Amino acid sequence: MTNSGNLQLTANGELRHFLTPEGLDRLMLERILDTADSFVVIGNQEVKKVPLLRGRTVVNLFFENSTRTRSTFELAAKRLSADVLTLDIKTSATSKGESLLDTLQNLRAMHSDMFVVRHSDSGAAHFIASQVTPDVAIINAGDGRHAHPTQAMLDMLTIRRHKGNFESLSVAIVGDILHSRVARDQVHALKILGCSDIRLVGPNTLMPQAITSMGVTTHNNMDSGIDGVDVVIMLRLQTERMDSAFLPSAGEYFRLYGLTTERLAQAKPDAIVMHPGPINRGIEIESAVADGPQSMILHQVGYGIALRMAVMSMAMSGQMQQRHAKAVNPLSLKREPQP
Amino acid sequence: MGATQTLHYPELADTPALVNNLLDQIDQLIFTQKLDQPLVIGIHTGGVWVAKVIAQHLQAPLGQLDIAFYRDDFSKNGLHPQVSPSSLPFNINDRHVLLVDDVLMSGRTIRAAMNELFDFGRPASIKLITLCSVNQRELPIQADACALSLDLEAGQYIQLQGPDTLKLSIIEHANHD
Amino acid sequence: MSILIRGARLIDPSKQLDKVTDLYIKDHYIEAIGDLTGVNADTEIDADGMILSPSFIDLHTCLRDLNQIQKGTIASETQAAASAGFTHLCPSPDTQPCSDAGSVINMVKNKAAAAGFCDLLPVAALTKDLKGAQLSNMESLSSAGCIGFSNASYDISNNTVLLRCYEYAATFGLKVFVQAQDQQLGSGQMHAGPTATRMGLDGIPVIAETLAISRHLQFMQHTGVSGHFNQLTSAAGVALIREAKAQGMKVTADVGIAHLCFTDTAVQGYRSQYHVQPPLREESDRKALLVGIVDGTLDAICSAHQPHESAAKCAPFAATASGMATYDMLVPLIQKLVDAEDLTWALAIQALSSNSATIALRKTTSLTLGEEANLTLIDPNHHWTLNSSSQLSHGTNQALAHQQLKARVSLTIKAGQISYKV
Repeated sequence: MTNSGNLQLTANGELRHFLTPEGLDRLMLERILDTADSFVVIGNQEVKKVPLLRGRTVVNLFFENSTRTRSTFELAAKRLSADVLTLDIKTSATSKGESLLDTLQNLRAMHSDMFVVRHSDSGAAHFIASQVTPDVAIINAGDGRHAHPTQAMLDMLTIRRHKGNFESLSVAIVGDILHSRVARDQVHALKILGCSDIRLVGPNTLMPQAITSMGVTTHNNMDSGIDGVDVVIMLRLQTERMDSAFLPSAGEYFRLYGLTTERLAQAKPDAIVMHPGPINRGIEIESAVADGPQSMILHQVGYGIALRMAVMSMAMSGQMQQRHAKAVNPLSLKREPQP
Repeated sequence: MGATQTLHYPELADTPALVNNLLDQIDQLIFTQKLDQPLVIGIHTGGVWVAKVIAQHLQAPLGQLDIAFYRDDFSKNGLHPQVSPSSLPFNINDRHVLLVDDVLMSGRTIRAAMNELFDFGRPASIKLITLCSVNQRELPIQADACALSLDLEAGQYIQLQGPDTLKLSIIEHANHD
Repeated sequence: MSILIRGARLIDPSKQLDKVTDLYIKDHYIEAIGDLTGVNADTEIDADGMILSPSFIDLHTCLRDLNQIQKGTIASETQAAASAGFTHLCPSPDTQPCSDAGSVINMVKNKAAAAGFCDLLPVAALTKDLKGAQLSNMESLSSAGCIGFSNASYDISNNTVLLRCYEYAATFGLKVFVQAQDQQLGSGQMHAGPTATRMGLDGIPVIAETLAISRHLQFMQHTGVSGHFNQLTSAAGVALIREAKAQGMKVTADVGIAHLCFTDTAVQGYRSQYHVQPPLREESDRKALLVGIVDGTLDAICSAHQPHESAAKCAPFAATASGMATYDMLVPLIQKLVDAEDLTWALAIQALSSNSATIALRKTTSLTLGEEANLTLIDPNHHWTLNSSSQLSHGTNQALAHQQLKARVSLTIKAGQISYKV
């Protein structure tokens, strides 16, 4: 979908919005991961701050609640020395579209450099990116069921750091794929990074229509689905699913699709277990596994901050280069070495 | 490309001699300034190679800085993914630091390095050690010890090759501007 | 007042006529067809290379006005319809206020008459306020000039109520128009398929349509009501209609121009212009709809024109209003289908005029001597650009805005008067 690619990149192919990995090429995704790697190191030092975004304003625009995601973005921005502002805006049921447009108009007066956006409508981040003035970078913190690119990329970072090359890996994603914005982006990212064995595991009620068109295989049986895989990604199951005719009960779900120590043995002995969080112990994952040696769940949190620092600095950089290029040289900007 | 230029600067042909000259200057500096137990910190990439030699000579602890996140050209040239992270395996508070780079030219790299150093702590002093200095300062920064100072023409740059055999040479950029 | 149209290719499906010849109109009637060299008239039109046909009749459209003037007025939208070759329109009852009362019907008809571009043959609401709970005053509405009854896009989920609606309509021999989509299964934003999955949008599966069609066919059969299905979207839906007709049922169906030309992939990039209800489906469905027109399973093509103001389409996809403004691009779209050899002008004209006339007026229209002159003259080679100065609808939701288009209506004649000239 070249649409997404074009919207996310400057004329020079630099990142200027981060909405979804779809439409970006392998080189770009690897650059994001490489940049994130350096920020992981920063996170382990005593001095965790770098001055990259000093003087820049980052606004958290959360139309949908999420304390976790919001706080990691806040932390990431602060570690980049940016000024951070959080706006919690709930959309009113009757005037959704209008108030979003109006909200964006009102925000113009604040002259911020970047919006981190979370919204319950799929395509909201694209919409906002197409409506803001061209020098504002948009980072998608999750839109409807469509995308959650920073989560997917931090998952890729986790896989790369602990498992290496994507080409030889087999990855299973288990759970509520239908309602998961993360799963779609995980599939896109895995494919672009060269992974060819991606398995989606779950009951038909939680599997999106025609998902195999994205180049994955689907499995109703968890044991055969995770047989011999290198990575098991468990998705969170929301309790609403049990109330609205998607699943009969938490008990039956855990019996069929819960990741227990016994079940995990079906995967490779050195397989890693991941979960975007927050975890539902006893529903999608057993405590022994969540807290066990193969679990990367806590690592993912730290990687999440580094990854967000990476995309924020890259997108800000792309925007600023664009501004600078327009101001200084109407033609394309050449890179010069700094002695 | 390099051969013709070194004829104009015959000193460059003998890099080891320049390094030895620098080590002598450092010994002198430590003695006259009474720099007790200095820390040697090199700036990536060439500065680290030179710093290694110095640290070995002084039997002093060695650290390295990558200034990628402290550069002042972020808005113009963007962020390059870092390859090697900064690593200071010691506390720099109240210590004397020998900050080492291979080439001092505009002074911006040193400005960034000092900013980064001060995010780690407050040293007692910083002495700037460079193998070579090109007279094109854009900031008021000078070396405390330097083996060679020269002027270059527009489009010419000096480069240190390493890490094992250190060799300085001049390269030319065909399309400058 | 006389009009002479020279050298047009006359296409009259009801008489299997496809011939280049002249046509003469005197006062309100067609007075002569044939070689009319030497004949004079008040208005003479050189129609060399153009197509002349009976005028078009639209089985499904939204003219807005009343409480929705920001989207369009009867004056602007009927003028746009005339520019697309229509002389008679069947506006859908989902107006605001709802077309469930004679007063609303009369007001709407009067406005159209005052504007003078098209005559209205309204379809009234099947239930009061389209709420699916209580029958509307069907007999009175019929007397006020309504040609049929529909619950628009609001499926009546209560079978008992639906049965009563059909029984009451049968009492007076009234026609029921159905937009077949199950209410709960139809709660998504686009066709349930790979595109919806990629975009994280709620999908509407094909069975939402087929379930509703099967259900309504049974009600029609059970009560003897003559029914018409609006806006088919799927191959499976077409198959059901084909089977019903094969079994001798008197049922008719139409398809919207958008569904003949666009598919669900058009939504990529969250383009709200392609947010349409019922949804655009896959290429295999589009092809089946075209086959349906060619083999007669689908009787008619309608515009399904739904103009909107720009704010209605300027939001994240799910929050945008559904519907396309189609009048300004209808003829160019037909030409595209003709150029792609998916359709011929003869078939298109049959689907836009004679067949729709049979459904709406219970009689066919034709180019016959003595008949009232309702004609459309199309220039298939007219190149033009659709933009804010060339479009006539007030709707800004023009899918082909700023595009170079080919083919345009040159003249529309209603009751012997020129209602539109390019």
